[in-house]
Amino acid sequence: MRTNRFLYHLNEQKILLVIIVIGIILVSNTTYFVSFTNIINIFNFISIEGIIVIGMAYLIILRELDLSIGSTMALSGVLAIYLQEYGIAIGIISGLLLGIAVGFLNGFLVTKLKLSSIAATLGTMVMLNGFVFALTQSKTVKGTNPTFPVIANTTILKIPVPVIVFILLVIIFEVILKRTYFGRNVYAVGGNIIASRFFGIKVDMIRISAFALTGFLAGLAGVLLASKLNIASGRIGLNTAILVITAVLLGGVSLSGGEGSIFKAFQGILLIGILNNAMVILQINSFIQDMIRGLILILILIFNAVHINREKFI
Amino acid sequence: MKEKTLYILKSQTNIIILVVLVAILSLTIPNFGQVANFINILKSIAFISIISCGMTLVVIGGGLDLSVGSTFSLCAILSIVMLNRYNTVLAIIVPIAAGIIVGIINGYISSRFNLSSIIVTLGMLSVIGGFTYFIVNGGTQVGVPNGTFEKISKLSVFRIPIYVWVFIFLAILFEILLKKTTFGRNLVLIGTNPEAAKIVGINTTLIRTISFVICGFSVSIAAILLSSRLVTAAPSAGAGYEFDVITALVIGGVSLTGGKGNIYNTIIGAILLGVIINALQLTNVPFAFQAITKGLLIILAITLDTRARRNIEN
Amino acid sequence: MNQNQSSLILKVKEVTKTFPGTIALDKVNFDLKKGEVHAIVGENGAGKSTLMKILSGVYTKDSGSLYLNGGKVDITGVNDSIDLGISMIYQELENILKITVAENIFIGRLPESRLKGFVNFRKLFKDTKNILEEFKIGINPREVLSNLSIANQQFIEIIKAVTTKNARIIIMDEPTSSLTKDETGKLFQIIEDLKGKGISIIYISHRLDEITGIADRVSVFRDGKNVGTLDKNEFSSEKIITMMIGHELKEIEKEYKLKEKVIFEVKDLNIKNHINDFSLKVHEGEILGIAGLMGSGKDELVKSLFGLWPAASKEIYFMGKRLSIKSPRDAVNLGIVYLPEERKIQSLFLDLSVSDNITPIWLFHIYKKFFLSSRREKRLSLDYIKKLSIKTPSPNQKSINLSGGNQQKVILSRLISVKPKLMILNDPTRGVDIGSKEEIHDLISQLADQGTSFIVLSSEIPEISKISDRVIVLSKGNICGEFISSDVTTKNILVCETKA
Repeated sequence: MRTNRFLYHLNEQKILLVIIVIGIILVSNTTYFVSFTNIINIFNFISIEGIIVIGMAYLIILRELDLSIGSTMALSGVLAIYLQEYGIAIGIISGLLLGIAVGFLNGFLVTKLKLSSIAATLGTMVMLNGFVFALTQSKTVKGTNPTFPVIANTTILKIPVPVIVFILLVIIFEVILKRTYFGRNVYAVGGNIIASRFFGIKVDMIRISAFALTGFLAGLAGVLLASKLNIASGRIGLNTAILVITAVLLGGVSLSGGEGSIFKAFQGILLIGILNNAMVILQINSFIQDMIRGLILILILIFNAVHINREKFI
Repeated sequence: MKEKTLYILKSQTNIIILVVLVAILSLTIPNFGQVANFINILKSIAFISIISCGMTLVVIGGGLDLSVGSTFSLCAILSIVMLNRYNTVLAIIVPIAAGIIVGIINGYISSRFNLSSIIVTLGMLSVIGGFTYFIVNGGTQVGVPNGTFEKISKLSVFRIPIYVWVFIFLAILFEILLKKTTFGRNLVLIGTNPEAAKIVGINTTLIRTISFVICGFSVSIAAILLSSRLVTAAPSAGAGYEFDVITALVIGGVSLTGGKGNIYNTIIGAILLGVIINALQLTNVPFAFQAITKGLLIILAITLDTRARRNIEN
Repeated sequence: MNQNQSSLILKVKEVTKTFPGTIALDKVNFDLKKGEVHAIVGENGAGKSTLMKILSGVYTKDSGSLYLNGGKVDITGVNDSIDLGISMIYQELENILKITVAENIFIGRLPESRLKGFVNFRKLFKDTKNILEEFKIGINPREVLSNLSIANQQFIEIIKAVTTKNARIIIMDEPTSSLTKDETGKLFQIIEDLKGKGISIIYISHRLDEITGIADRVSVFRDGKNVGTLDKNEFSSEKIITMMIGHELKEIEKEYKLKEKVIFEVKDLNIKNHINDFSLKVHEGEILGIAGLMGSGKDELVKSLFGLWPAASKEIYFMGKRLSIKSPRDAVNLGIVYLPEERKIQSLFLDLSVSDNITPIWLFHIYKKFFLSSRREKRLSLDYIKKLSIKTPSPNQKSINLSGGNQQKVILSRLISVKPKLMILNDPTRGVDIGSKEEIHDLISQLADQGTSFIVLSSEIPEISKISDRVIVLSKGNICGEFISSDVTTKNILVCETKA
């Protein structure tokens, strides 16, 4: 029994172990890896999408998915850039509001119209793609206000603002998940929706809130990205969603719902960042990196399926 | 007798909508009702329709293939690459082989490990996409003008180009496969009740894999025809196709949960989509709003389908 | 009489409930005293689950009245039932396995900390610890529920009923089916605690030995009626079994034809937690019945024979040859077919027609051609519709529109159409009207006479004893009795089953 406990805890932190192992391998290759600059590089890479990972983790614990985040991100960025002429604040707030609105729409479709979250978010994604295309005509538009790029490109104590925002949000939402009513209810609903409803938990409100949160975070990520690059990027499509979902699953949050944590999801995106960093250092083609990411998602799924099957019967 | 008429009317709702819509549009929009315009509509939906025919089989079997867009790009690129390096024959065979291999991977992994084909094909989307960009290092492949290969797409009968005929041929072939063969029947059974299908002794892994292979095959055919027509291919060739295909299926009446629908539905759906887009174009509605319309259509159609499912279950 | 009634917490008066084709409860009377354990025994279909469903608000009664603490009440839904303090222990539905014990017990009412919106975990775990101590259950409040044994999960269920739902009446349905002897002892101790608190318990069980240990009174249900209530000092297994069977039941005389040829044999079948070292022989043309209560392992047993449930070890011999059955496909290829217990979920293709539901196995086993022939399919289905008297306007009727009995006949047609050597039937007449039931029994007899072998599972003992040539009774993973020919009687099976 005690060995089981030990193995269980080991399994919980396996991603951290993988990270450490990879770290050791790379350090032996080049000490650049653990240099401050490189670590900042890694975090820089993962911070923008990492913000969305937080929301997606909540959703996956609730047994839902959101495929529309990439388009939300793109549209928020577009709004932030386009509405700059009325003031940076207007631009930023529109981007954030759009995110929340999309989130509420998704939540509504899933709870009131009872669509599956994949179908619903696929639909909103296509719609948002349309809006992005309508506004940009596939051209990238540069931001006109010089103050705007400052937001995402300043550093505090040599750490870029987006990274600080990311880490703060991770901590805040981990605490919310683990220690508040809302968070505990998320676990309950994800674990057994029927029982939760039976005991008076407002299931629909929880789900809508999670979608709204994810939408907001996608909007925030979009605004930060627009500020960072100072362009409205039409990065529509499923790639962001794939990256974010892979990160959450890689960190060990199960698709079957009811368990996991933001910290785990964070480990997932961190691992992706490290893998990416390693691939860059080892000069692996960026297209191959895309391939590897897709491969990782599939391998996680297979591994989980085999693992669960074994547990069930043996 | 009255009940039977009502029943027939109900099951033919889609074609009725189509006929009514066409009638209205012919009267209100100037150039709509001409034969040349109808041929235009068929031409515009031909490639999506070819893919949709293959996708129909997958969906009826209870799956979904989100990687068709990337696979299309891959096959298109392979076609032109083979044309430039070797000859027309390989320009046809290699993409077909690729489509089949992708189908085998998609089908086998999702069936064997009992995984959601949505997420598996999502992962494959990345893998195939990355691979495609890698082969051509991100650049568009321009084909060397070659007599034979280009001629393929220039063939036409009764002023209708070959790719429309291929669409019609495949549609008929797949419908026969679905409705008149044991394979098709097994597919419908699996989509209707996977557990019962297993207990009855059907080899669900094999049948579902075959459906994905047929889908991959259709994608490759469509890609070859398009490459023949353009004599160039970009790694982004098929971007977004998956949504158009799903839209066509859903508004045509094929249920995303499986077991219900046929190729005939898909054709109606594709034509309906083509008609709506054509009408929007003729009335000079900005191209981008077509995407918005598509998104709304998806949501509308899925809602209706979910409602219908719910009624059956009750 | 009045003195007794004042300590009555629940009174059920002449309650009737009918379903199409059956009378589930026939003017049933039942009462429950404060702080007592009142057991109910009876065969499946006797009406006990129906009454419990009425009390817990899942069904509504057709007629009769209910009294709580002397006052008349109406139970129209689950919420009414809970408000009245009636709580049924459902294991799977109400536990959230992935969160802690404490959060399960306090679900929906976690204690709030000073910071609004935040949970006071210290108080949560402390309160939980107190409750657990009160019930003398030594579980760590921080433990995740899925790591606990089934027994402990059940105890948490009970605690939840008492604390969260403020239950005054708790209904337990076969609570010891998954428990060891020690765990059963622990359960009884908890029940004694509950009694001390004035909580009443309706205890449904088949295990007469247990009932004599824990119950204050026993009521026996049969054919929708309460045929009698015994006080503690009047108990005896003999008396109860007689009441369960009733004197009207004739044991049908059967000729036992000597079956010699063994066509199917299983040795050393082991399924973790369910079956231990099981061995079985089936002869040609024999109807082998398998009886057993919930938790006996009979479901897992047949599922593994058909390749639906992996077994840790098993040796299978079919027609003398040693083989492996790893999937339903393997089994069907050998000529073994299976009728699942939940036809709507596991057998029927509800959206499809009767004909499409009859033909699947035949299509790829006998027909075997690539192109379908709607003519032959139609002929086959019309054939079976006639043979089995399936009531349907046409073979194209959607199967969802048929009655339960006819649906079952459709599935049986599907199985028979491939002329199988062995048919494994799991609860073949569940949810089937009496007429169709008879027809199905006759069908099984006929096919057996023609050489088809059967393994039949049922929780209805009269049914098993009526149709089987031989019966094996399982209890907690082991064979506790085997009966042949004239020894196959309801009484014998019941006696074996009811030994804990």
